[in-house]
Formats: sequence, structure tokens, C-alpha cells
Amino acid sequence: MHSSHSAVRPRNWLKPVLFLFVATAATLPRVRAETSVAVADPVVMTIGDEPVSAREYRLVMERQVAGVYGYFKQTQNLDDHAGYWIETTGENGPLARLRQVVRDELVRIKVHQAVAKKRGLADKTTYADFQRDFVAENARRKDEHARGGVIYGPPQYREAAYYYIRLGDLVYKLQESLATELEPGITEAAIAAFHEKNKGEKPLDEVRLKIRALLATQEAGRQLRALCATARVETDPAALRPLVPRVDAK
Amino acid sequence: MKNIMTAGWRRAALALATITCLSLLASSARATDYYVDSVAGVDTNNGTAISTPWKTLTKVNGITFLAGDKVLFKRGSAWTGTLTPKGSGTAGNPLVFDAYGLGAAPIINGAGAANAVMLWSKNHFTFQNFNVTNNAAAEGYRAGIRLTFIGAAAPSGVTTYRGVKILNNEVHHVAGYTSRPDFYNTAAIYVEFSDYQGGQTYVDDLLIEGNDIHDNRAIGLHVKAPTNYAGRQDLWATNLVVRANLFDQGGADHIVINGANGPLMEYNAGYDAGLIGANYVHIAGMWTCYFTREAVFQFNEVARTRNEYANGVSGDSQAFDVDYGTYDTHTFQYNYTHDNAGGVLIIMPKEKNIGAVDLVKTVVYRYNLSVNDARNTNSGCQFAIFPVFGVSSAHIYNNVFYSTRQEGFKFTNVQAAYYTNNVFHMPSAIYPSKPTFKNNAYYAHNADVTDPYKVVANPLFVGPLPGATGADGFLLANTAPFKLQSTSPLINAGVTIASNGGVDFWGNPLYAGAAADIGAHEVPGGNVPLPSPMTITDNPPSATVTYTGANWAHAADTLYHNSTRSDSSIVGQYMQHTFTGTNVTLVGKRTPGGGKINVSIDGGPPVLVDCYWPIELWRSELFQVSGLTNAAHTIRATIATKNPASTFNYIGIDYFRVAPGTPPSTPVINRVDGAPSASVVYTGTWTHVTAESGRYALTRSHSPNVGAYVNFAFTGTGVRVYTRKGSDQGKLSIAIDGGAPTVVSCYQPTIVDDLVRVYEINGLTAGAHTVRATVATKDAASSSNSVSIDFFEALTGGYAPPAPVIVDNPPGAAVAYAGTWTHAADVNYYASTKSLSNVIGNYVTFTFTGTGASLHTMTGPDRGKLSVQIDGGAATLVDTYSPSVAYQVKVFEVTGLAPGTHTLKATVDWKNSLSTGNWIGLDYFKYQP
Repeated sequence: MHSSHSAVRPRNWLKPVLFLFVATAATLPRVRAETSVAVADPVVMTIGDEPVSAREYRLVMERQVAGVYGYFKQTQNLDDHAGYWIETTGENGPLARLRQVVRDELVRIKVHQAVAKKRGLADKTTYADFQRDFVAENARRKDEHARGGVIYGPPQYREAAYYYIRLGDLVYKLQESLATELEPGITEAAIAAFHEKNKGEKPLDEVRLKIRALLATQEAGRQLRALCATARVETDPAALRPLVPRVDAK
Repeated sequence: MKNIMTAGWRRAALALATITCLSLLASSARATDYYVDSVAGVDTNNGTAISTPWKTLTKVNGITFLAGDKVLFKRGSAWTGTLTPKGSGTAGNPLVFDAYGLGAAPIINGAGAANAVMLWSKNHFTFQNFNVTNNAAAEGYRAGIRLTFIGAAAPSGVTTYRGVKILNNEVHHVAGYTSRPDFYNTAAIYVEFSDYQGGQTYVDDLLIEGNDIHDNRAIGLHVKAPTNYAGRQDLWATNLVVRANLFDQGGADHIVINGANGPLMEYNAGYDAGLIGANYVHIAGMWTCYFTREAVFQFNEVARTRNEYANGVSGDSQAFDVDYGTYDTHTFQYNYTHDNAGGVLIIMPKEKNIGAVDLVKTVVYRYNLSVNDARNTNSGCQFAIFPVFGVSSAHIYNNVFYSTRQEGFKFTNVQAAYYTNNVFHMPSAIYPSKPTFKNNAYYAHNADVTDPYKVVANPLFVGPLPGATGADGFLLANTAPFKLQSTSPLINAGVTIASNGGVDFWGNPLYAGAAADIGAHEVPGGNVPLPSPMTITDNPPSATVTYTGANWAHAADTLYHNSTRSDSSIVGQYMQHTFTGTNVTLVGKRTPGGGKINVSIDGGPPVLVDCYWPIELWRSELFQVSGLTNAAHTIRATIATKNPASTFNYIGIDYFRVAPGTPPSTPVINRVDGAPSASVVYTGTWTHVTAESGRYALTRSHSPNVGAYVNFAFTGTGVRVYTRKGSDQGKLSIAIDGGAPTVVSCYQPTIVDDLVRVYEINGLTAGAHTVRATVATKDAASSSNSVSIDFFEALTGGYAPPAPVIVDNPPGAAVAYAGTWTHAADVNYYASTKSLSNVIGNYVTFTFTGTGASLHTMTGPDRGKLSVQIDGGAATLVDTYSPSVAYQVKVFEVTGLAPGTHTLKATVDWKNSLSTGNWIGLDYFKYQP
């Protein structure tokens, strides 16, 4: 009985341990992978004081890829091929152009976010913040959809679509805020000159306020573009190197 | 026979087997999957396996595919040129173009070609999961995805197409046209019903769903029909559905639908139409046009549609449009519009352009939510609708229109527009006379509207409501704050409407309760009594409205009530209105050139009202008083010198309004002449004038000697003092029974008035009292300390304690600020104004005459403290911090003060440790006269 009991005991003891081991083994790589994803989003660029992470860079980059294809087709009759996106194509190649247009777009984005933050119009501008909101928004949409509630647009957002919708909302609010401040500085002479240049169906008195608002909005846009033009940009070339649209087999 | 039969059967069997095999082969051909890879593909491959893909669009374009085939493009690949698939599917066996593999969607890049994807006359065809672009430096006639359905050559009649689906594609950077009229021939997704060679086209079951359409210098989706669709409803597309697409950052309109019978546009989101366009002028978010009937737009979000002032034309830019050539009923329901420059809706009533035939149509706009939609459009109206009475009509009901924009709302003045059960919550609004307004709720502005059952009250939305800036955290698709609280006065205050769609904005069934709720939310609740009518007296000179001074002008002006205004800019000129009732409201214009007016009731102490405002506001409530005895009164408004910010002394008078109320009974008045007598005793040096015309009892007593006084002993519960007022008159310090004095000024510029009531007090204990009026030091502007006593009135009974008086926060005669304060608009505050400061030591003073006062502010997590003093006494520390935001909160109150003039001083103090800021959001004061 004892021996029999003793003979059974190791198996009983082994079962949960084995299960635990298997379960741990199955779980660990996933945990590590998730952890590594969270950690492996290094800052690849800093614009002013705003960091750009690798994942944010890739998101913006992928929106610019089609335009670069079009540019090289139109200027050099170049089609897609293996090795299209390699750095050896030089300063005038597709990857270099892609880097430039992504940089310009990120400068636009980060300058607007920084000014909005400074003016109290936004408090969360990092990619991690965005990711949290993106996941939450898609979860909300899923829940709403499941219980027959109303959602506008697609049932689930693509990541880039949501990123740019939020950006559009922020840019609008920022321009409105700036324009409101700038309106008192729009002179009667400027309003009259605009009206004279765009003469049409309305007398000046009827459209004065509208033209003032329009000129203030234009001035807000000009000031923001000027900030973009002088933005300080620091890039980590090594961190940027793996960020390409596609890696082709050699 | 048997052999023959056998042979026959064998032949038959062989034939059947052959047919079956051929059939299977054919079936097998229809079921083929083809693969295309721009990197690893080779055009000489068979294309039928992932390992043997084709490479180029040229190869794909050269194949006629069969029903059931799938043509799959590798993710991560890109092609430049135009994809022009050949072939179609059949019902239940569609031809499908799709993506395979992992990674980014396959790119079809038109690179400036006419089309990136050209789909000719497809049946049962699905195109999905592609990234389509067609950019170029210059604009041109381009599309991203173009579907052209062409009829066969005449006389073959109508060709029918069915079952085409465009799903889940990203279509972007299409360099079409954004200038009018060329943009009508370009679009990111362009659907064209063609009348090629005289043959007609009829399209059924066309689905555009889940596409992400952005950054296109073109219309987002344009469904276009030829002119030969006129009068041919049999050709108009049926079962056309546009669903769950995203339109972002466009150069022109998001959705334009022509040639469709019963199209359904739902769950789409459209942002920033016109943002990247130029010279587009006339755009709208989503709309229908020629040869379209019975359209339904529901559950869409349309935001930030831009307006452009180009070549003198100021454009449209509404969220929705029912345009030329539309017929029958068009329904807009459960949509959310916000920040659209041109407002909410435009309706064009004609067959074609102005001058053409009027079309029979009914537009229903119900259970929608509008937030901060502007009126920066040609008509200057959020509702630029022009239904023709007797032919077409617009029925706008159970919507919420909420705005923090100072310009507020405006509506076209058309008879065939019916506004029912809506909420209008905005700082200002101009309601025209021709539309029918019924059972609407109006809040945060002067509801100058003919609406027999209007509700003027806070709707009590759940909130928190969005503010004027983005700092309020109000983001996309946030509609829940516009539900009603269970205590809302809008519950069951509406009128029931048949065929109402069955549910509210949030899907609640209609109706719950005895009647409809006002607004977009239907909640259970009780009945609300209907409001009583008001008496309106317009501004033109009449028996009860008089103007003094030569410079008053009386003119027509459609922005004023009844299209009349009276205005002047000359300081000292005045106008007055005699009315009967317990209250009166003076309505007029505030403007950047607005001056000030001194407003007095029955010659009593004037209240200085500032008519300056940074933008023009018509029909603004300039002055309001209540709690008067129910008798005849005179309100006088005298033009005074403007504040420094104003450019002019302009005063525009609109009308007077008297609300019914429960009047107090008339008091017993015992008038006593001011000549010396047993009850009127003078001390000091006075001159007593007799036999002077224009005086009560032909007498007056005057003195320039500061400190000289007169006592009037009377029995009753109140007293009045009457004097002369003029530019050479001084002040009186008046006290009851030796109590705290009240100083009144007898000075007024330019004009001399006699028999003016300068002082009144009520609510005294019934019995004997003495009022003492002492000559005090004059106003600096006056040329003399002289005062001139005419007569007294002792009052007995007939007095109800006056209602507390609210004095708003903007700087004025009673409210003065020291230090840096920001005065801004905010609809969450009383009268939509607030004054902000976070600088320790800054203060505001409020001077009032009465027995008590209270101070009202916003409270919230970033709010600080106020140190409050009455008449310079001990300070009370008041904390306006609270964990959550609340508005119009009473944070301080004092009662039981001696009747007289007092000063409340509130100084910004250090916050508590929990608060994140020292902010004070001052709202209003309330005092007990």
C-alpha cells in the first residue's frame, strides 16, 4: 500500500508541475514578446521637445509610400522591384525621398501637437498615448456595434485613419484658437484690400466679419508653417535604418 | 433493339459525360484564383499559385476573367498605371479582386493617369482591400476608382447592371479638380451612369462600404447620371447603399449622389471637406442632386466642412444639401454635425437653376445633433433652405442645435419651413417671421421668436457640454452629453408628430409619456405647463414709445424684430416707453461700436448698460427689471459715453417686452408737497420757490449747501423722493430713521428733467418714519452741488418684496475689476459671459443698493479661493474648488444688511492643496433690493 501509494505520488506530484511547466513555457515567449514590443519602440527622432517613436514613424511612413512610388514613376519611369527600398539607391533614390517626406510630415504633426499642448488644447501627444486611445476607441466601437449603438464611419478604425482623424481635429481646434486671438489685429485696410481683390456679390459691410475671420485663419496657418520651417529636428540614423516599407529577399 | 438501345444510351451517356466534363472544366475555370506580385512575379508564369504569380498590370489587364474567379494582389506590392479588369461575375458567383498575404494593402498608383482603377460595365463584381492613389503635380480629370456603366448602342434599350461592391479600400491623394465646375467630373470614387451611343443604363444593388477616402483634391464619392435620366425614373439606380465610409481632409464634397431612387447613406463619417481645395466655393458635406428621390441620410457624422471666399462668392459649406433636381421625400435622421462652416442644411427647390420649375419635395430633418455649426455661408444662415410654399416644404423637428459661437444661429425667412420640438441652445439667434416655430426650447439667448408654446429654460442636458475651445476634452462622436436629465423641463413639453421614425437619436422608442419630449432624446417624465404669452412693443415712435433729440433715426432693418430699428449715437438723447406691468425688458443691439445707456424706471436711479460687444449681436437683452408694482411705469434709456474699447456711441433700439406675472396690489400713495410744513422740515440754508410752473403744487426748495437737509415725517411702509435732474444738480444722501444712508445723484448731462423720482424704499414696518435727505458733494461732472426738492410720496401697502436682481459679470457701473481679468464668452455661464483671473490679489467690486447679495462662480478642480468683504469689513474666505466642474454655483451670500448702498469686494486668494490652479471663473452677482 505504501509502495503503491509511493509509486503513485511522484505521478501526482509531477502532473501539476508538468502542467505548470508547459503552461509557463507556452506563456513565457508570449509575455516576452509583448514585453519586447512595449520596450522596442525607441525614439528615432525628436522634433522640438516632442519625441517620435519607431512605431509612430512607421505609421506616418506608410502613408507616404504610395506618393513616392508615384513620384519615381512619373520622373524616372521606375516601377516596383526587389530592392526598391534600399539605402544604396543613394540620396536621390526612393528611400531618401521617403525619409524626407516623412520628416516633413512629422515636423508638421509634432509642431501642431506641441503648440496645441502649450495652449492647453491637448495633453497627450506621445504615440503611447495615442495607442491607448486607439485601442480604447476601437473597443468602444466594437461594444457599440454589438449592442446596436451608433458609430460613425467604419466599425473598426485602421490605426493610421484614427491617427489622422485625431490630428485633423487637433489642427482645427488649434487654428480656430489662434485665429480668434489674431482677429483683433486684422486691420480694416487689409479687409478692404481683400474685398477689393475678391469683388463679388456682397458689399463689404455684409462680409467684413467673415473676411476678418478668414484673414485671421490664414495668418494662423502662416504662423504655424513658420514654426514648422524653423523646427529643431534630431534624428537617430541607426534607429531609423530598420524602418523601411519592405525588406526584400536577396 | 437492346443493342441499339444500348448503343443509344451509350452515346447519350458519352454525350452527357462529355458535357459534364466540359461543364466541370468550365466551372473549374470560373473558380480559378490568380496571384499577382510586383516583386517576385513573372508574367510568363501561369499566375494560378502563390509560387507562380504574375507581375504586371499589363498582364492582368490582358486577361478576361470569369465568374467566380479571384484575382489576388500581394500585400506590400505596388503597381503604377491603371488597373482595368476585364470580365464580370454572375449572381452568387462574383468576380473578386482582392489582396493576399500580410502587410500593407497592395498599391495601385495611377501616377497621374485618368484613373488608377477603371471598372467598365461590371456585373457582380467585388473590388476590395486595395490602396489606390492617383497623384500629380497639377489638377486634372482624374479618379481613383472609376466605375462606368454604359448602355448598349441604340436601339437596344436599357442595359441592367447588378451586384457591384467597392469595399474596404483606401483611396487617397487623387489629384482631380477642386475648382468648380471641373470637380464634378473627378472623384476619389467616381460612379458614372453613361448614355453612350444613346443606350440607357440601369444600375441595381451597388454597395460602397468601409472605404477610407482621404487627402483627395476631388469629391470623395460622386455618383453621376446623364441628362437623359430626366423624367426616366425607371433608369434611376436602386438599392444604392453608401455605408460606413470614412472621408477625411478632402478638396471638395464628401458624397454627391445623382440618378438614384431611394439611395441610403448611413454610418459614414466626413471631416474637413474643402480643406485642401481651392476655388470650390459651393460644396457641402453629403448631398443629393439631379434625378434623385426618397434619399435617406442617417447615422452620419459630418464635421468641419470648410468655406471659401473666392472671387467674391461666399459659398455654401453646410453639412447636408438637397439640391437642384431632387424629388419627393428626403430624410435626414440621427446624424451628428459639428463645426461645419456653413451650418446644417441647404435646400434648393428647383428643377435646375433659379428660374426653372419648382419641384414637389418634402425634406424631413429629425432627431439630429448639431454642435457649433457656424453660419459662414452665402445666406448667413445655418438653415439655407428655400422651399416654395405650396410646392415644397421642410420639416425640422426634435433636433438639438447647440453652439458656443457668438454669431449664434440664423434661418432663412421662408414660409414653408416648420421648426418643431427643437432645442436652440446658443448665445444668440435671429428668428425670422415667416417660418412656423412651435414647441421649441430656447436657452442662453433672447428667444425673440413667435412660438406660441416655446419653453425658455435650461434644457438640463446631462453634460458636460462642450465649450468654445478644444480644451474641454470634447472629442469626436461625443454625443451622450446631449441627453436630457430626468428633471429636464423639456420632457413631455413637445408636440407629438406622426410618422416620426419610431426612435430618438439614441434608439429609444417614441413616445414615452403624454407628449413628445423636446430635443433629440425621448425620456420618461411628467407634464410641463405651457408658458404664458409676452407683450411685445416695437420700437417705432408711438403713443407709448417716444424719442427725445433730433438724431434718432427710424429705419427698416431685417435683422431687428419686425424689421424695424431706431438708433442714435448722440450722448444725452433719450427714448422712453410707458407700459403697465411688473417688469420690462429692453432689447437692442450690441456691437463693436456700441455706446452705453443709462436706464431708469420712473425716473429712479439709473443703471448704466454697456452696448459694446466684440461682434455684432442683434436682439440682445440690454436691460431687465422685475418686481415693480403692477401699475403704469416709464422706462427711459439715455445715451451715455461709450467705453474706451468701443468705436462709437451707437445705440440700436429694437423692442420692449413685458412678461405676465403675479402682480402686487397697488399701494396707497399719499403725496406731500416739498414746501416747508409740519411734516416737511428744512435745516440749513434753503431757498423756497413758489408759483413756478412745471413744479408739483408750483413749489420747489433748493440748496447748494453740503450738509443742509430736509426731514419728511410720514406714516406708512415706504417713501419716495422727487427732485429735479440736470447737469447742474448735485447729490442727496438719504436715510430712513437715522439708518445707513443711500447716496443718489441728481445729475444728468444735457437735459433737465423735473418731477424725477430719485429715491424709493419699501418694506418698512408699518408706522411712523422719517426720511432725511441731505445735500452731499456733487458728481465731478456736475457744475453745482445744488439739489431741488419737489415733493414726497408716502406709501402704504401694495408692496411685494422685489425680486432679487441679477447683475452679470462684465465690467459696468456696478461691477469693477482691478488687475488682470479676462472677459470672455461661455454658454455655461449666466448670459454666456465670464470673467477669469488666477492672479493672487486681483479683485472685483460689486456695488449694490439693498439688504443682501450673493456671488456666483464656476467651481472645479483647478479653481482657487476668494477673500470676500462687505463694505470693507472682515474677510470671509470662499473656496471655489470642487472635484468636478459645476457652473453658476452660489459660493457666497450675505443677508440682513441695513437698507442702503453696499460694496462687495472679492479678491483672488491662494488655492487649497487639492486644486491644480488659482482660477476664479466669476459668473454673476445677485442682490436683494
